[in-house]
Amino acid sequence: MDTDQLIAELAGRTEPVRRLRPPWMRAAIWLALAIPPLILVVAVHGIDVDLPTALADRRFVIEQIATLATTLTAAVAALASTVPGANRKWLWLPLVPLAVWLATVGAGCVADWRALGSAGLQLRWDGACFLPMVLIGVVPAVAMVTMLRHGAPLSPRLSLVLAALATAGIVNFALRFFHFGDVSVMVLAWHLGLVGLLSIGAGMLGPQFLGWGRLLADLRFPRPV
Amino acid sequence: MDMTADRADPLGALMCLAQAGDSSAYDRLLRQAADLIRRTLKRRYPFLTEADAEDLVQDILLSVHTVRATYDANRPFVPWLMAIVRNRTADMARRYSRRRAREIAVEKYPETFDEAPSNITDEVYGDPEALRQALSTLPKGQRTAIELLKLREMSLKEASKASGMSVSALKVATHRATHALRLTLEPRDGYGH
Repeated sequence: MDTDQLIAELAGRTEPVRRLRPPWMRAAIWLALAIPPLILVVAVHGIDVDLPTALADRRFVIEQIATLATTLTAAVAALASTVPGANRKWLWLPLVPLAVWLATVGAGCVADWRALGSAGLQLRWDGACFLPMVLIGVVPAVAMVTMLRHGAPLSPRLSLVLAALATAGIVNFALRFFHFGDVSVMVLAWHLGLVGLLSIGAGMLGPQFLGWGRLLADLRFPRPV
Repeated sequence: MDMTADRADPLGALMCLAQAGDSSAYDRLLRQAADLIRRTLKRRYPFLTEADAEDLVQDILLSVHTVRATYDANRPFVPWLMAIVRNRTADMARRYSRRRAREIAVEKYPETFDEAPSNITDEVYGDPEALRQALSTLPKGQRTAIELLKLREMSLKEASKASGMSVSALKVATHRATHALRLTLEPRDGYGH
């Protein structure tokens, strides 16, 4: 098929398409979808922390703000990564709150170690955390991947890594209301470890989930290259 | 604010119309975009063959079609298009590198055949001097038949008129001359010239 024929074919297939909203607006919609399961799980499970005490703890407050900021910036960056021509500098934005998040958790580990010695850095499996984590994480994860699939797969690995970071961020934000106190090493190992694992998995699966091949195959045109 | 046909970005305006389902605007947009892509590829990748560049143009147009919903009417069209061009070109370069990594360049393909070559009759004979000599040894009637029918490519009727020989005599003479030439010119191993 020559290019003129291809253009005629494509023009013949023109149907109205719904223009994608700006990334920040889509991120807001994503957050709106992610919050109900979070509220539901917290309502069923109950808040284990004493809120006035927690809110008086500066490190806890900074950590939660940084976690939420990481979630939001990662969500915006993930969605912006699928918009051709969007400023790529925005993709680095989550690194700032992520660094603050890591720093507060690191500072927490040091404080726990000073207060409790090696017992403060003891790593243990907390099964009670696992189910709420999955229940909170499923909806935002599925919603984000679905939203990314509506965009252009310009850098599928990076998009999914950012999506994993956004999802893990919101899960961590919720779980910290169940865990308060000397749990920094647990947060570091399980929550941020999970972010790392999700990111590696997402990075590996990126082209399969979000590649051009899927979009072009849906067109049912013979691929020229 | 939705910018449409009155904006300073004519390609963006066409894309807005295309997003709304206007096929004529979409046709015009894709033709102009194809020219722009061709020029860009030629400037940035002068080593691409025309066929490879055209394949890439088509691949990019298909990609543009699949993600046309991502175009934001409030942003200029060309940076949007060029981001797709860069991305698809990089993909093509990666595919090309992978293909090259799997291939081994050889000067001559190590092919072997266990069958005798086919009897190709319309090849040009490789040694015209040997053919001329072989023709000169033929009887006059056979030589005339070959010269008129094979070398001058006359029809049987034309050759009959020119030589005064009957059509059937020309056929017989040609058959015998071909047989005689084959015996004279064919190498002894039977694998042709």
